[in-house]
Amino acid sequence: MRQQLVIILLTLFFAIPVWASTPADGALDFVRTSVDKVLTILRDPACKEESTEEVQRQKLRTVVEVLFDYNEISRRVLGRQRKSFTPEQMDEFSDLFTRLLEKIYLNKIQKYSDEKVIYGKATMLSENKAEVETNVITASKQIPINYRVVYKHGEWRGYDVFIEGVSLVRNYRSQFNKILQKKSPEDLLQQLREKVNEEETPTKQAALSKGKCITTGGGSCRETTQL
Amino acid sequence: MYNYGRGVLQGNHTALISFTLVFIFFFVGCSANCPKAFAQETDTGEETALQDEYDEWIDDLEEEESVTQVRDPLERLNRVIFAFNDFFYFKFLKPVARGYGFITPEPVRVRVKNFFYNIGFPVRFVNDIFQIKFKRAGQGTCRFVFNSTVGILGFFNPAQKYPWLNPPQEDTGQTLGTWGIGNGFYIVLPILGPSTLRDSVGFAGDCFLQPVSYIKPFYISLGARSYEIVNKTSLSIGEYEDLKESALDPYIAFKDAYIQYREKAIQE
Repeated sequence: MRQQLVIILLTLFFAIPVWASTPADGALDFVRTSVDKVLTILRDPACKEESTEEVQRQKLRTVVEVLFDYNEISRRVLGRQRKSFTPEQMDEFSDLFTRLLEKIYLNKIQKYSDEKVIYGKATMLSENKAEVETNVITASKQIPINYRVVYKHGEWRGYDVFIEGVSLVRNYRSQFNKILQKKSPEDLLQQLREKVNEEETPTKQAALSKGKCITTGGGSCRETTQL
Repeated sequence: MYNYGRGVLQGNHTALISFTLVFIFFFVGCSANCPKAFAQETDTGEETALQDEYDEWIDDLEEEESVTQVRDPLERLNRVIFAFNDFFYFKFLKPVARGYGFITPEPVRVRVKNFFYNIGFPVRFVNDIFQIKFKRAGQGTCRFVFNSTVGILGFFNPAQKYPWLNPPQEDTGQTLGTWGIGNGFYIVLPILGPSTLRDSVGFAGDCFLQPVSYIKPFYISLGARSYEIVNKTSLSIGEYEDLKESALDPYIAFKDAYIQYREKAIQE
């Protein structure tokens, strides 16, 4: 009898941890893991030198690719307008938009190092979508950044990010809708191609100023790169 | 023999209970942890494709619901003012803010920002009352008293540590919004930037409630407001550039960001 009890208790003991976690916790864990990885890479002193900037970028890219589902974002960002795109145009759009986002996001976060991230609560928006709240704390302010994630094909992936309440997807969608009101998908692609290529230059400049800063022995590295 | 048999039976019984329990907990736990996991495991490729199509359809519906269109009949004029503001920012405001930031340490600038925020208490208080948010009005008053005394005239922000002392900021534009007044149409104000008809009226209301407006003579009041703007800009250099840089049509990007930001502020 005692043996039976022990077996049942053991069973419960192993089963409870699974029972305790909710879907929203899964979403929170997913975002926390990815963002923590990004922070570890950004804070790694070995990554801070100019020579390793490209290595750091590559590492960040791998993590961010897991955090965000670029295909999902590309689809959402076009909304219903995607129906006027051919499959080839859609592929190119997705590719270009991914490159644009990567550049903007990576350029932005590579400047940061001493910011703190505080994780808030996660709420389910529907049966497979959740919003995870985070707060980025800088020297002079708090910036709320919320991640929207969807559970699809057995994993969580990010499909939108809200910075101070402004949805990235909605912001781009309003721009693309405006452009597509008067112009063809091909024109939009051309504009994107130009944008992506023009974005290349600031990265190099940032790399240069960062290098300069290190030679002057600067604890003020952040200030210089922000200019 | 009999006993042995019974033992086996009992053993089986225990195993059965355990197994059932494991199964139930695993099933409940996992389906809670990962929605649709089981459905997708047994899915064929075709069903997954159907599921995706269904998800996309839902997304399109959501998209349609979420979009609040704000009309922009003055777009051509607005774009001209937007270009002027851009010019003004890069040629005047940014260099001044940067020079000021160069000679003033960041902690000092943060204190100045705190001071101006603290002194704008009447704007928040009156609008909390107008929106029947009495609890927030109380919290805001506590914050004002606390920061004005312990925080030495509001230069320091000891209230920051206590979340309940930091209710969301309210202004007259938001009050009009909660009363059900729509945005009207989009306006870009010279120097002040994105606004709507409703929020411009709200801005005038805020000026009435803002103690700094009552400083005499008027040019000192204007100087104080200008200083506030320069100080604020010095702490956020790079934010304007970032959004402009990432946009394909900066005018639309700022318009949409403004509308979304205000929508959220009104909801809070």
